[in-house]
Amino acid sequence: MVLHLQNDVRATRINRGLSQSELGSECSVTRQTVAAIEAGDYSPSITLALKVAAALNQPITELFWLEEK
Amino acid sequence: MKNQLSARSPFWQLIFMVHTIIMLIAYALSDRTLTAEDYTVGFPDFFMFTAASLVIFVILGSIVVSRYNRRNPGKKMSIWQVAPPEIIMDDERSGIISANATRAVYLYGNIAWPVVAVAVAMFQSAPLALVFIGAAMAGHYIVYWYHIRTLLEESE
Repeated sequence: MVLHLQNDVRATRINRGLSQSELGSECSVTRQTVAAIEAGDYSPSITLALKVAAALNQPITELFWLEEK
Repeated sequence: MKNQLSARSPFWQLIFMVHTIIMLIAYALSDRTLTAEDYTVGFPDFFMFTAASLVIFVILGSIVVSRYNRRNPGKKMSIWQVAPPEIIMDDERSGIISANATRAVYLYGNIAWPVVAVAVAMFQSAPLALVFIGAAMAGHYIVYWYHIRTLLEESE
């Protein structure tokens, strides 16, 4: 069984009215890194995932979860 | 594609290295030998040419770096900085990509240098040895470049 990290960052960010650049600067990462996280191309570290969750004011488990693929 | 040749591209290091190797090969192929007069009267042509090349590279580097700094005021770099500009550590993702690229270069070196050693031992020719060494060194930059191409493409 292989588990993959899934996320709901894009929808949550849009709901909060934030751009990728704004979320990136709140979390001290580039816009490209936010885009890569949203696309599932990059799995953030725990620290960055916590920063993203704090910036979006959302529990981390609702933003990131593991799913079997 | 034009971002692939930005100031943070390994391209510039690659060009400098290839230029140096070509100069060394040209010198190895010539019958020029240093004489006492070279040291007493002045620098021999080879050293003058090397010095001129260095000056040209510093001028070119300054132009490329100042253009980059104008476009990226938040991420300024200096031509004299110790860390090579192609090591991109702007955030954790770019740091991981750079680290993976560095690992790939290390693995490449692990294979390339023993091959070079065997080739040099087989052919026993100074100019050919320089060609092999130059090709292996160029490979370091090409492997690194290949692995960070995404970061260069994203750069603004």
